[in-house]
Amino acid sequence: EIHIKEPIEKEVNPRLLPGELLLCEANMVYKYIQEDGSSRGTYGKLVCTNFKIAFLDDHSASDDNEPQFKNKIVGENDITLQCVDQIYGVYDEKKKLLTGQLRKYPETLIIYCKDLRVFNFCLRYTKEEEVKRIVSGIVHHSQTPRLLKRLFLFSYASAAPNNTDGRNQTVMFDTLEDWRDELERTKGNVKYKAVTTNEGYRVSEKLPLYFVVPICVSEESILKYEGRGIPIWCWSCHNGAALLKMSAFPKDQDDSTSQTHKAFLDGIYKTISKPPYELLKTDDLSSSLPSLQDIQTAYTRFKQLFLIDNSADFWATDVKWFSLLESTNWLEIIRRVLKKAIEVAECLERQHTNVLLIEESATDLCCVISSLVQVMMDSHSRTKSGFQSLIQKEWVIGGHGFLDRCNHLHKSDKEEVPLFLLLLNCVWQLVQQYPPAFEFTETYLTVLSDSLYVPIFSTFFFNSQHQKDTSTSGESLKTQSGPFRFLTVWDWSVQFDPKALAFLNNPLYAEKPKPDKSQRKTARFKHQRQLSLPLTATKSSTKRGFFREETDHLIKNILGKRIGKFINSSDEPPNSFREFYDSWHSKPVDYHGLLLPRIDGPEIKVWAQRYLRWIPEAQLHGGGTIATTAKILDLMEEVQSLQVKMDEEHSQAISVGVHSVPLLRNSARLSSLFPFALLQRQSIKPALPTSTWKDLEDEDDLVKRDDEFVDPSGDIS
Amino acid sequence: LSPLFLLQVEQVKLLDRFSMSNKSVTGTLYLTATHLLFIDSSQRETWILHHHIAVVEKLPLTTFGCPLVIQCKNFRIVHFVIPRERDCHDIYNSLLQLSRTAKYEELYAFSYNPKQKETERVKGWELIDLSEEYKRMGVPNANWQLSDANRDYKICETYPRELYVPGTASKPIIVGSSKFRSKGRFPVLSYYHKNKEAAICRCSQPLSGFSARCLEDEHMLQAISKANPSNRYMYVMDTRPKLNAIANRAAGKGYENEDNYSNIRFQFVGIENIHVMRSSLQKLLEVCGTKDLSVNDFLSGLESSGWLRHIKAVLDAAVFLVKAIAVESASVLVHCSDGWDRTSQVCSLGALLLDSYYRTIKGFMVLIEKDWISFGHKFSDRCCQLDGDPKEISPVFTQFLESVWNLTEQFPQAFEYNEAFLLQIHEHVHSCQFGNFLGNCQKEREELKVKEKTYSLWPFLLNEQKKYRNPLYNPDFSPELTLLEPNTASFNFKFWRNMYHQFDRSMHPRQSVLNLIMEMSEQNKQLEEDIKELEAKIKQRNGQLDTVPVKECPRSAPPALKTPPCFKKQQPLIPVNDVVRTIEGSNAADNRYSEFVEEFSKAEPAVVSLEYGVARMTC
Repeated sequence: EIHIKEPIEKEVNPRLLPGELLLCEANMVYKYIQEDGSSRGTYGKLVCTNFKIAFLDDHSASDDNEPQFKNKIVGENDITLQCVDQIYGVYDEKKKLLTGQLRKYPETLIIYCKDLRVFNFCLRYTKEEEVKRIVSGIVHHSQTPRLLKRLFLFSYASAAPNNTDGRNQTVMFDTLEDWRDELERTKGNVKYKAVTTNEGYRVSEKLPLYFVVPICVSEESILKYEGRGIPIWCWSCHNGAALLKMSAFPKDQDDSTSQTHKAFLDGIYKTISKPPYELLKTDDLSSSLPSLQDIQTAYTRFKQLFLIDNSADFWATDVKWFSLLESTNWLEIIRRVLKKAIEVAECLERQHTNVLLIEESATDLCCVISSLVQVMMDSHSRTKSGFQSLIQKEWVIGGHGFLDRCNHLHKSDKEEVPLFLLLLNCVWQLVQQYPPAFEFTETYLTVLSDSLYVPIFSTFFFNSQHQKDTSTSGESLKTQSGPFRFLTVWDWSVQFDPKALAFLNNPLYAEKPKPDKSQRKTARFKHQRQLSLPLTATKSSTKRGFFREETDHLIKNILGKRIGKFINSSDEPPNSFREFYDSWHSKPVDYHGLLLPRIDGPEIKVWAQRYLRWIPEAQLHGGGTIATTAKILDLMEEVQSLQVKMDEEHSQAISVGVHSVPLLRNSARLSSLFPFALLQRQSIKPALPTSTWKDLEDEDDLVKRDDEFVDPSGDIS
Repeated sequence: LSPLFLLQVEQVKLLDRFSMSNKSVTGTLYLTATHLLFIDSSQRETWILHHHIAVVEKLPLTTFGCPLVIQCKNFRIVHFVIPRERDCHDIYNSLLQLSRTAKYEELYAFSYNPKQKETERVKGWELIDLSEEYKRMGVPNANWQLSDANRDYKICETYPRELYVPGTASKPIIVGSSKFRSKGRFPVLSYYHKNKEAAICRCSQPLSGFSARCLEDEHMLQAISKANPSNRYMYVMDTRPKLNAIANRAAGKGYENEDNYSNIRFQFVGIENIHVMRSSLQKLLEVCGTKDLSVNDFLSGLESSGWLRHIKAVLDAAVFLVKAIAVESASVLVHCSDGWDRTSQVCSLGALLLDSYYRTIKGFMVLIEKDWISFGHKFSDRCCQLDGDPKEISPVFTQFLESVWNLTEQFPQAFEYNEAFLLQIHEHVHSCQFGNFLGNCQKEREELKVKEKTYSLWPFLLNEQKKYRNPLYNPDFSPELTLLEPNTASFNFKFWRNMYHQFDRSMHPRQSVLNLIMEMSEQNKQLEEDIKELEAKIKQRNGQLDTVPVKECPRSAPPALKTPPCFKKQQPLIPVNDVVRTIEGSNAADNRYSEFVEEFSKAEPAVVSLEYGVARMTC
């Protein structure tokens, strides 16, 4: 049974943010350490505020052992209300999902978080009154539908004076200027124009205040169907081809309406297909990509693999890890999305055609594909500010319904689809395939994904620019305090101090160099494959008479019997996508040029940092990618100090030890989960898990599978 | 047709098997006595050693010509299309003939001549001295002695002459024990852990049948536990699945009965046999040979092949072994059936985890020499050096290398060597170019006189160790005898692309971070030199005249690193292409030569390349 250490009654109070109110609390809560099913843990106080659920123990008060990477807003034992995924109660060893009204109160509360943490709180030693209050409080505040205005965002914005000057390199795309600058940057301004038609949201509440359309599209036609059927500009390629998106007309319409719609669309297509516009290629994403429902289902299954209650669960899933991974279908969806993005890039880059992405709302898969295409094709989008501007352009201002898609308000589970996470997962694949091409690290992507659930930033808490505008101004009339000034997530200093911010920057990133055309051209030429044949006549070779005729196909049997199987010499005509993909991959990479991900099955990987970071069993002491990073940082520091030394020698300056403290000094034995879990050393693994997998298989089955399996008595070796 | 070429066919197409657009290059195919050579129209050469060829297959005639597929033991698969069927047939028959070797003396190692002095060749064989290695471990000592029982291979033909046994194991005990062990492979020392005074011992299965026992064997095990002053009990690890071990009892073999041996703890660890491993790899290769493979097909294929699970099982066994020694200070006796496959895997991986010496370039050579070569892993049978029983072929050593690779992936700072080193060793285990891996045991190698007639691989590798250095290696990470604790969750086992798709260039990333780091290290060295140079200059100037600071710079500093932490400029030195991918070597010890003319061609075109090939051939 549980060994109770006498808890020291010590008053610990939660650290509250401006506008944060303590709603309920419970003392003597026992938080299990997530490990090998043991009952180790700590006592403390569980509180629920209008912002978060927090567990406070003695350790959280002490300042020693300050982690190197810490979120200033959300602590190690804090769960924002929006971050709660599901809450389970344990009743007599049985787990039950907790929603809404409770009749009985559980002994243990298990909270699964959207950032994949799992908390186990034992309430057995807590006063009954407090249990009732805290459990119903937590369930009510985190799991029941609520009004937009009840989001902590608003309490925080009105209580906290927003002093950040907002001077951020990120382009917010909330002004006409921003759009014009973007047009100019991409040289799209010849054929496209930023329009003010939607000022006052005259066209549609779903469209941003300002957006860009082809110059030939008239204001009337924009107004005609609330912006439906209008190609909206996303980005222009260096060759002038543009990526466009369009929200389609609803499909189930009566004949006459759809006839007029069709006529309208034909007119639009006609105007934007003739010169100076490039040929137009349309792509209906709702039919060429997995449905939103599929994406949600896949992600739900996928995340389940990582929401592990205890060590036993972990090893249970480990036994059939690869097939479990397969059954979720999540990685395959990532592959299909990447493939689609490459197809679009091919049209733009090589076929020189405009691509028009079509979707019912043009704010879901359109956002994923258009962002991904830009990350692949525009090196600006691979810088931090460029990527952030891209998110602003395509998602925040572009009108992705974050509120509904993340289900922040618990209004309807059906609307929930992790599209933004899908984008981050796809970008992560690129980051890990081409680390030097990105200014940011995977840690940046991870904390960005975590920020989806931190309601002090407005970035991910509105469905559209219109919704944000109306919420801001509407409230201001009542409070008389002027319009709210929300924080943006792009101000990373709100969440992290400079030391932690360093982890978001990629030390291997090289900024775009001044173009040195002559050099690059020769380099490329050198690697071009020669496909043309030298036209020499085939000489007949002399026959060597002394070789006997052989007939057996098999010389040796080391690897396989039917190698012919490997060779699927398909006679299908080579399609342009494949040629494009192959020829790009046969050339050296220009990290500041087009970047195409590899999409062979083995190349699509699990984003370990995001998904495995809280699982102690996945930890490696002194290993993992962090070991590589640490070494790189060490090297860079060495370079830096050498550089300093050299400068000193030059200027004969008296050496003043300007030694920056290296971030990861003595990092030889860092945990691979760094910078996230700061877990104690664990036993490395269960006593002897070998061959447990075999127990799952029938021995007979094994024999059948293996036609070479001789009977075990002949087990030579 | 040059007389050095046995055959020459022009207008041959080489297809890229993974290219989704069915790309191909055209060129000329040559056959030499030792190699197959393809030179494409841009003078890129592909060399394939006949010994590497595993399978040659003619596919049905197509409109373009006659397809010929060659699969190699190093997982290269080449797909030629030959315009005339007659030529294809000739090549096919010649290859069948050439790639089949009946006698050891016909292997490449006996004709390979890198033009080295005889003294150097002899010195090369002396590079690795196992008695030095045992001394390094701390034996012989009070508890362990060198036994001369097998000096003339009288007790066990497949063991080396020099064996280390517990001090209390007398000759009668050794002889008795060896008679009770399959193939006479009685328990001997494999690794001795100085600090824990615990030992890894190895042997083959006992001939226990259903009830047989052997007092000498029991004494032998007792002697092993007594040789460990810090712990009275010892572990006996049977690396086979329990079912296989039980089945062996019917054949008069089996496993130790815990009741008969005092103070032993018996444990099965369930590594499958060579046949399961062989077919598992076949399945893996089939899955990974698919064009445009989807994630789901890959994952399900990976699961059903079981390959990574087998790798995991091997590492799990090593981890178990290591824990017994490092945590409990207990000695461990490891065996499987004959004690030359799974036992070699587990003992060598265990030692690698325990002792950081084996994580250095030299140490790894010693480890292979000790646990694989000297203890008689049947390289010849397993790698099919001669035309033999296909059922004896199994990728046991490949598994070992793959396990090591997985460890290097988990601990990027712990190993002095990199992936290229492992790949190069794998290459030469199959190439039969050097004497080290020929034959099945030491006795056989002595009979073949490999030390007199062939070259050793190790000095060649050591010579070019710059290529095999891991730029991330941190010697401080692994002080002497530091334990490596791998995580064997399935998640951590990855598909080894650079092994199985080593030659499929279209499957490789264009550039690795490691290359970047190597570059950075080089630049650091350059900077250090600059400083020295500057210091010297300053001194010199100060000596000459006491004037103002030196403003000029002797060599403009590399611009790349002016403003860390982000490089602000692209480093001109960094190769943006993959021609320097280190795994593709081209040197004396490498018979793959290079597919990249850019890398080694000496400006002159075809003629030189051909001469190159000729030079090789006459060697």
